[in-house]
Amino acid sequence: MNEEKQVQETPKAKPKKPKKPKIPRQPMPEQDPHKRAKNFDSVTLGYTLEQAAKEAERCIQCKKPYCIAGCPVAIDIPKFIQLVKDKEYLKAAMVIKQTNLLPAVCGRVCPQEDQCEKVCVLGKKQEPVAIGRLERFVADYEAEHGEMPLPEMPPKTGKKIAVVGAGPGGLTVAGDLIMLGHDVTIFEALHKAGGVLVYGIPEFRLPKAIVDREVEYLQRLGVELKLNSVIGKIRTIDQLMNEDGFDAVFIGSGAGLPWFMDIPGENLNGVYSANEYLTRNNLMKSFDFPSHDTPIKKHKNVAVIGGGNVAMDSVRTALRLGADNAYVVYRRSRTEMPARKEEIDHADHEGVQFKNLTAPVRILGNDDGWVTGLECLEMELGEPDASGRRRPIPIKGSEFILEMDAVIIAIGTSANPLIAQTTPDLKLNRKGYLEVENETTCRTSKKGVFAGGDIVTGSATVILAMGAGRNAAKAIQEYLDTGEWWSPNGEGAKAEG
Amino acid sequence: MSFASFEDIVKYAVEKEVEAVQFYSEAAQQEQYAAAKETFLKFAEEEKKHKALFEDINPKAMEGYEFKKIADLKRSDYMVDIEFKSGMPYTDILRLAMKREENAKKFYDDCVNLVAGADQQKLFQMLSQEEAKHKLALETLYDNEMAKGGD
Repeated sequence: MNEEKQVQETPKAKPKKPKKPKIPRQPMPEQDPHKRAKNFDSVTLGYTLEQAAKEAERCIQCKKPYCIAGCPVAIDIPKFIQLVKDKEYLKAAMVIKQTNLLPAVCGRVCPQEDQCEKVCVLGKKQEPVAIGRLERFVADYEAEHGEMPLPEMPPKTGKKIAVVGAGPGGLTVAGDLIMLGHDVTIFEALHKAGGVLVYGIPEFRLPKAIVDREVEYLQRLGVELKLNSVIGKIRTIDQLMNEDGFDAVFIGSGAGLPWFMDIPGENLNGVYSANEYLTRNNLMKSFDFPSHDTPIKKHKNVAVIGGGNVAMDSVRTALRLGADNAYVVYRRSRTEMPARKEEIDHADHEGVQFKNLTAPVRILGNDDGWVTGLECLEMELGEPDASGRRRPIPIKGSEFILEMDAVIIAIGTSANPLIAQTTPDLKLNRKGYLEVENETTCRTSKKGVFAGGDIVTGSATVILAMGAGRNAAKAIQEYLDTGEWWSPNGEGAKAEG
Repeated sequence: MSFASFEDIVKYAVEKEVEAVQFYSEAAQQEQYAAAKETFLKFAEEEKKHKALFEDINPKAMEGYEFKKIADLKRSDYMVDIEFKSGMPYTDILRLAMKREENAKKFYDDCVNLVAGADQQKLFQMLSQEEAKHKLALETLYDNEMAKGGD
């Protein structure tokens, strides 16, 4: 055996290239939990340039990026992250704004863990890229470092569109249609635009200046905003179309009618719907009374009923208003809570006390009609039913009383019936939401009237409402072009909300 | 009312189902929204099925009736009563129906102890179980709906 052959038979092992160290997902800087539980300032502080660069470095720029499909408005996520890597932050903002009008909002409140980040390839073996945090970083950078220049506007078409509701769906549809050359007027019931972004989500989670900035941008584009304008009261949908000359109407009035538990004692003083409690604080700034006109009673022991994001917002607001004890009372276990994990964790760290598997059965009051306590039952999860779900069942004899001076009910909302009541030919589904042909066309049973967001689906997320707004804008354009409508009594009508 | 005989109880139970069918049918007529009308008519259909089941019941037929544990979520048990109102939201419609089933079940449960005969007792237990099935179906619908909102 010669030497050469020997070399061929036993090639030297190729020295392994040292693996590039994995960059861990960059944590979001936050205010200290004890400190923040006493103020209304933003809880999360946003990435620094260095953190954003490090996080962007983690994106592997997939050839077939699932994250885009995971985003309800299909942001070109790899492209904007690449621009962050390249330190082209303003260009990154422009990429996002091509499909998302409210990136600073979505970067803060979107449930990315259930959308774009859920399908991130990196998430299979490690933590997914923090897409939401990067989106927020880019939007905040853009806000701090220069105003986005106004795009070149198309020639006017002479078509008039009415948008009912200045929430995320309405703002999106308005933004898209103004860019197509139409005259757009938004009718907002409240004295401020933003819908749930301004009355529902607290300042510490979404600073209102961010929403104001986005609304101002729309106004600069030419969108007309009519505040204090309750459609169904000042004008009906029919009047908008037949007398005021609107060629199409988009209804995005949300689902703002609160549900109650229907247990004894709900009429006592000190019982709030979460809508009222949050609106007083977020929209009317009652936490800053008397600098603002609306007061709110400072309660010591507060129970918030429910396990969703609204419940977390309410209970954390109660803490910030000075409650000694702020409880979440939830009939199911923590696993079933629909709130984002991040929000539950934040509440937990701030000192919120969780009473899970606990169902209120009666609110107790004194002779003056004020809340004094909450009678509850302990629950246990029953056997799985046909759907596989284990439902909570009361444990016999487990009654106990929690001393309370306020009870905030955050167990869901449904559509306000005002528009349906004043527009008889708008078809509703059995849950009281507006029936539309499908989620793509957003066409209601009334010709020229479109709808999207919570008024169609029931309470959902900001980004889903924005996705509906985007679809509706396309459908409205098609309707203006062709004048074609669908047959609401034929097949294809969407039955469920 | 007299529950002296098996037939007396059957007659009473059938009358209660007839009343329920009438209640839901009238609610459907008065309801302004088509979808809510449908919900009430569906409930009326369910009560018609009960009526037909009870009309055919006799001591011999009872022998083949299967008793089993029906889960009781007790969603309606702690709620205050509610009356029909045209335009009421879906969750209130469910609540109204749940309360009616709860009251019917409670009534039959109480009756078990008021009669002496084994056949009559068994009949009341059967009636109670049938109401419990309706109650569970409605409470499940309600629970699903409320769970989405964070309840």
